[in-house]
Amino acid sequence: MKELDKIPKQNPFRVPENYFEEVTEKILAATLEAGRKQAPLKKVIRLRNIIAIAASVAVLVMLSITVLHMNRNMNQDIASVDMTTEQIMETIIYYVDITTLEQEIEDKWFENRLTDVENEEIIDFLINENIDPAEIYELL
Amino acid sequence: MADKEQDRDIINLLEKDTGKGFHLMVERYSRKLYWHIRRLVILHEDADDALQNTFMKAWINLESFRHESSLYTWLYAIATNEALTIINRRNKNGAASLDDLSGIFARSIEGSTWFDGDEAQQKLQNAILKLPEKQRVVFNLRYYDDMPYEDMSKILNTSVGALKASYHHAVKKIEEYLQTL
Repeated sequence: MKELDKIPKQNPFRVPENYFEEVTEKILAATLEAGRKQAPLKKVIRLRNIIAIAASVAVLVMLSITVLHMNRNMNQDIASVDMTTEQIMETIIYYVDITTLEQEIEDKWFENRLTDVENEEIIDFLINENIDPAEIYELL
Repeated sequence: MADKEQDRDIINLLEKDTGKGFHLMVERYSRKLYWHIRRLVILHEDADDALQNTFMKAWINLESFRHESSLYTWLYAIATNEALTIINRRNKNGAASLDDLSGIFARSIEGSTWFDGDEAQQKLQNAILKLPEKQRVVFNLRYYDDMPYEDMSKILNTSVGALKASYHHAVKKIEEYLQTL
């Protein structure tokens, strides 16, 4: 028989006398005073969502048009001239702007790197955060 | 434990008369939610605060609930968050050990007054307190409330498989702790 099965499943805690009657009254009094979020607020949130979606769609459309335009120019350049592989690569690099891309990646890397954090500190942090092993297994 | 018929009564009344519906909700759920919170935070004063905050948040966000499927999973989710907020706040502020009952009771005269379990119950509570937070929630909901994993999944936003694994690990750890005493 397991140790856990030997312990009766009962509530070991107690509450002050009449607690539940009193707390019900306290909660009802507090909530009536506090008021409640009204429907118009939901409409504002919905309207904000619609604006955000519309803005995202507009940005996506503009980006797509730009990329299509760039591709068309690139294809025309490549097709119209008899080029070597090296020349094609140079043309691509011209359009892609590798320097900016590299700078971006480097900045992001230094931004995200935890340079001052030791492995032990990371482990301590995870332990303090009570990371559930089951959750980690699931993610793996 | 989920009484969906009772929930329907509350929801119907909320639609007709919000005040009366909310009153019924508090009457029906205050005990269940209190004990769920109390088992997590241990101290009565903390459980009392978390319970009042739970209903206050439910009241303020009642409009958003009307699109939810189950009243009881919604309320349990709010209550669990409130309990975990208190535990996290305590972990950040507390210097005393909070991984056994004596550590918690040492910080509150009131705490020891409202615990009347025997030695075995105290050992079990200490074993539960040694669990990581989320495992503790899963263990309590399953062991004390007999809550189905499907409902727990909605409350904790975790898959049924992960919850089963979590409960299994929790029981194993508790068993190991009890055997070493």
